[in-house]
Amino acid sequence: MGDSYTASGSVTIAADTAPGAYHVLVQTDAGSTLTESDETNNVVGAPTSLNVGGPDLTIQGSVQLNDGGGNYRSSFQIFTPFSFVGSGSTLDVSYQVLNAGLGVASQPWSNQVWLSRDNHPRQRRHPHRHLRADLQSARQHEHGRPPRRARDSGQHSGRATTA
Amino acid sequence: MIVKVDSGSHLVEQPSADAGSDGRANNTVAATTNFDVNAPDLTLPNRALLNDSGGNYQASFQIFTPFNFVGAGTPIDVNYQVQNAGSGVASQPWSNQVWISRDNHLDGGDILLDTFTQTSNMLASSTLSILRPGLVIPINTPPGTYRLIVKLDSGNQVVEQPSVDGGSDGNTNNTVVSTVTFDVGAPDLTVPNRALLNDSGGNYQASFQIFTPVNFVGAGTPIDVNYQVQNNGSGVASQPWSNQVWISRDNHLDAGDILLDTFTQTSNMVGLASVGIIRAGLLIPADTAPGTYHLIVKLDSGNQVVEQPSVDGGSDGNTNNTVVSTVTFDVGAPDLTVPNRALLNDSGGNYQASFQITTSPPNVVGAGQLLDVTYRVQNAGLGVASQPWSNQVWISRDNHLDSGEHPAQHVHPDLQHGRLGEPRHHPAPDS
Repeated sequence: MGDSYTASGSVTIAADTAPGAYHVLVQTDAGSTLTESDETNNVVGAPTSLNVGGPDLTIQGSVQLNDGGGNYRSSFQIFTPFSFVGSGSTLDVSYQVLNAGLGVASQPWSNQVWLSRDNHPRQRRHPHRHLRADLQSARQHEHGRPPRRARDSGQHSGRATTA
Repeated sequence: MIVKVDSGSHLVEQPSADAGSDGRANNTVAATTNFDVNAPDLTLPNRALLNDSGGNYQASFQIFTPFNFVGAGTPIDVNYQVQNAGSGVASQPWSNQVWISRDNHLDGGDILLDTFTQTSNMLASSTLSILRPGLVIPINTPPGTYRLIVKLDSGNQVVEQPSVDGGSDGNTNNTVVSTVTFDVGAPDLTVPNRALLNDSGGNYQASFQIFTPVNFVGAGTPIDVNYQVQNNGSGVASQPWSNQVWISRDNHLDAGDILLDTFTQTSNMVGLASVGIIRAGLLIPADTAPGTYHLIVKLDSGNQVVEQPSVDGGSDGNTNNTVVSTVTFDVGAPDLTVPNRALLNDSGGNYQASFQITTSPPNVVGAGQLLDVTYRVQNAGLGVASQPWSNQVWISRDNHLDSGEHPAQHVHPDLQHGRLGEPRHHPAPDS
């Protein structure tokens, strides 16, 4: 009676866990293997909560700017080797993707490259033309690699053809 | 009678005056009258020729024991008279036997108690009293009514004349049965101070002479059990036999009861005696369900002892071998939890929280990242928590492990498996 032991181990927070505040709960005899005199005290929580952060994909070096269309983000890490391209010709686009969040961005996901007349994508009054679905699908932090909490980034490039 | 003179033919005799030329022809002369040479005839006096379904037999009250009742394994004294009913001297040595029999006839199944060798002659028409003390009724002699049978000159060493009771065989009256009987008692093992009680399960025997010093014990831990064994019969209970100790949720030894101990008795137990037995360190199995239990002792569990009909009634001597304790004790189960917990309450109801659960990093972790969790597990119950069991670590949007509005997410089954609370093998408590 009164014997105790300390257990510890590493657990992986599932990559699709919604970000937010969580409580860590320990459930002893989780399989109800033992016949206990009190079965109501098997679940005990930590006194403080734990914040789980999700991934936050963006482009490296982006800053928030403002124009007549409102706020937008801009980064010098999106670039093309040319400042002029003809319609129907091929355009090489390079950009640096950054996971600015705490969580692992788990593949697959898709990146898209658009060509817009302004700085604001996906606004109905100023529709933009989708040039090409990005070819890159990757997991920013693969399982088995030491996870980095933030600021993981990768260089992506692709070739798009203008309409 | 015949006389032969000059039987060595030393003399030269003249021709006989009675006949012929041979002077020795009249040397041998017979007596004109006869006489009888009689032999001994061993028997018991005051006998009577009787008859039953087994045939004729001789019976005499001159064979007796002072006891009306004797226990198997205990001694008796046997007295009998020997009579030489013949006219000749019975010449030593010869042997007399004493038997016990369930009937009036010396036959198969009868039990030999004694063979006594007579070492002095016995004159004709004389009587001799013999006392044979301390003849032991063999252990395990079936209980019941017996007769003594004496067989004189059992080795047929004495040449006897035709019996005075008739017939040409001088031995026909050598075997005589006693006219009175005595009873042999067997052992009767039980627990003393018992009472016949009754509940919904039927009759049972209960005694306060079965007990454990503890009122409460944890599953997986040992107890000491004391009980008294009484041989309520007159016969000696012959070793070896086995006694069992069980625990039961009721007063009856039946399915689901748990055997704690089988003890082998290795010494005889005389009749009408009691002995105390202490069985130390009997382990309550770790998976014993918590609750109130009775101790049950089953004596001679292997039915190795031939017992007389129980003093408690019935023809079966084993009916009082199984006795339940009049007092009960409680078996406690283990109770796994995290120590230093507090009972709190929020809109979801009560919950338990403890600072003995910590994480690293302590406050923030990314989805898909590793989280180190350390917690302490305590067995707050009395019983041993017997491995294997599993602990799990969850994260939840609230304080409750449920599947409701904010379902908790199972993260990882704990790797810890162990036996918690075992007195000798528990993990060393850490600080």
